[in-house]
Amino acid sequence: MSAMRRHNRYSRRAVLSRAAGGAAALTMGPGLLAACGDDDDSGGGGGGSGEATAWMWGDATELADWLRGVTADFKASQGGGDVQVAVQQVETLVSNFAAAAAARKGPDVAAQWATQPVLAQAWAGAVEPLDDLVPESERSHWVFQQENQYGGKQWAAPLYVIGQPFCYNKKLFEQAGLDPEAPPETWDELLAACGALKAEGITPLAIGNKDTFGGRWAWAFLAVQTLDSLDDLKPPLLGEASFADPKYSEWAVRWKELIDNGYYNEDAMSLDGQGGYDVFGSGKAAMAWAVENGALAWGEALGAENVAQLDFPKYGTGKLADSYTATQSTSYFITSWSEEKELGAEFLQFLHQPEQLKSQFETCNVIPADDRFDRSVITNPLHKSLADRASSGLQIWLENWIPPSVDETANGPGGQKLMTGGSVEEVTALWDQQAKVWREQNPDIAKRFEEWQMTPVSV
Amino acid sequence: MSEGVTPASARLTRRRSLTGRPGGRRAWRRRLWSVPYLIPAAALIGFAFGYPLVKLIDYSFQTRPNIPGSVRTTVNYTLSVEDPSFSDALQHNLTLLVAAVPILVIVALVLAILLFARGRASHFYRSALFLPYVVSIPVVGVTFGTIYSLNGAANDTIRSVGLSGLAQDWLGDPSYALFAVVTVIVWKEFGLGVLLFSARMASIEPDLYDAARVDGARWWSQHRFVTLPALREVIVIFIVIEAITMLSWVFGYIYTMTKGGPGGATIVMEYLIWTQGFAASNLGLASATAVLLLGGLLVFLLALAIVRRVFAKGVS
Repeated sequence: MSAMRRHNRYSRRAVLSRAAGGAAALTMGPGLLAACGDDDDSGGGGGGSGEATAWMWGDATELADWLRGVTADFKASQGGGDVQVAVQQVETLVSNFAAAAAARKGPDVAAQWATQPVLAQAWAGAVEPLDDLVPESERSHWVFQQENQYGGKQWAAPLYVIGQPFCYNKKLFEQAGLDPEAPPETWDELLAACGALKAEGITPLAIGNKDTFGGRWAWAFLAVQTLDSLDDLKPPLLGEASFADPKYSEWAVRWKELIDNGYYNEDAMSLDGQGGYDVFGSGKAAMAWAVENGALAWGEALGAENVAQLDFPKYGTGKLADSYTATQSTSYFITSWSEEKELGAEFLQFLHQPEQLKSQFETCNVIPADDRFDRSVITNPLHKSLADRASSGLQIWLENWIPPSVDETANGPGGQKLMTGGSVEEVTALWDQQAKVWREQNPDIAKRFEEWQMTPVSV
Repeated sequence: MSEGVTPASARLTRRRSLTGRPGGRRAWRRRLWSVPYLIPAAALIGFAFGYPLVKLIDYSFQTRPNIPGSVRTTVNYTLSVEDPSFSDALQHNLTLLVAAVPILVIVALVLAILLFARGRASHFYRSALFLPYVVSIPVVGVTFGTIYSLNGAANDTIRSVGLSGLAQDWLGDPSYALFAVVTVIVWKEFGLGVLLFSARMASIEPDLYDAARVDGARWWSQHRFVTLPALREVIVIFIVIEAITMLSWVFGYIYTMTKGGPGGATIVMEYLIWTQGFAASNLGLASATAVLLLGGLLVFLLALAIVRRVFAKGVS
């Protein structure tokens, strides 16, 4: 799971779309499960007519606007070829494509969250590799490609790169007698800082976990610290080790320490992710994590000089502990049933042309995932520092690398359990159980997962 | 013979019992004529319900429905039942059934009786009480999600009257979340009961109340011996509707208020199916869970029908 979507999913518009999604799901009922299947393999796109459909993620208004403009430009640049973009919302991005993939009917180009959500569909035969559709000379410019590689093939294209910075409020640090220029680097320093802040009546950490994203992020930030490689994720997921082993449960022990000490805002379970951001943005908490856009908004609200990024304090000594949390968020691919694969591939390449990269940054304020993007146009110092951090060293958003079903059924509820008094043992048992469900329900995919050479992004 | 049976229908009934050929050839011909007219509706119903049901059952026996390499298996049923979320969800649905339905019946009944024979104002109150029922569930869910938050309107009210100790994170605390959902469902659904009960009460002969008064019955006795017996059938219908709602029609509330959380404290069967099918993309597993829910619901309805029949026999 990834990034920019999480920031924008909390907008009023996202809430309404969620409500609409709920209404739709309510009216459809279990019959939808069956209705999404069809044995007809005909393409849902242009059917060779020179017209393709693209299901692009666009929960952010700016991104949707940009896509509309780019699509018009693409049509103008083509000799008759056209791509119809259907903007997908956060809540329906996965479910809509799951239904389309089951029916083998739907878009020619589609988006899913990076890595496992893309590869799970690729392993299920719903995705066409890009290697034969997009020349290497073009793909070589795309960054963060490792997130969607399997079997020596490239399965999806990135669009933008986004980091999840952990930020602190310098003013509140100063108020608590802490050095605003020396934020905590180790776990003990974090605990000491939290203690000092709390003693001053300042909420040390802000989070919103009503929608489970706070807990999922906690896992992504903390669990990576005990891993030496991404392959370390395989044993517990494949049933060869338990999530109760210290290597896989230490994160929960540490996070629970923060929770049990009362270092989080007390209404964490009443707030969704955006609500958690707002606690920090309103100056009521001293530290929080967000996506880049969220951090930039904090800078505007609190004064750029008061907001700074720090690497998440370390407790683990794994080789991945020093990685930064950046990802391409959504990835874009050609569906296996498409009859307009070439047109779809042209569209993906078009999105990476310098003019589009520039307009993407100008409209959406995100860093395009392409080395041809001219970074000199980034003038906001905070944005520049965040972009620099996302382009140096190891970049791992751990949620991307586990099966989406385990993320949904173990990581999300597990984080809520920890935050509402549940034990570490209870949570690790949930992980083990849901990993077992995933393996037994998807033996073929589990086998592919086992064979997968998991390579983190290193820039 | 009931007063609704005409002499002609009485003759027809007698002829049926004597000949065993109700209506004779003409009636049969007439019935045959109706068949072609029924075919479109039957086909539509068959397509709308039959086809999805067959596919649902088919999917439930596949590891990855419609995807190459999918194998026929019963593992989905095993996994579904073994999943702790399954028993949690079932337990929560049953809790809703046991907690919400009696409250709904009592609240609706009391309000319907209180509004009975209150003149013009009763129409206004009945409409006002019915309003929550017509508000869409997502709107209700999102609104109450805000009201029940730790710093929401519910706790603000509690704090403003000096009861700060009672303020809770109603939807964020596993101990209270399901209870909070019950209150929202009751608030939303009781209007239907008031409407059904009021409609039936309007058709009760006033003479019955006059006779009861002449016999010395006071307010309580009048309703106990006149209103309640008259409402029996409507109450049963309301119970059946709400029971079905609690077992298989609460997805909208859960999705918009808690998403099954915190930590699975409010997960219900429909939400579990949605999670398995669409959030986790396990259509086979979701189908198996849906079939189990459907089967359980059919058993429940059958049991209810048997209880009703036994109860009706006992009464008669």
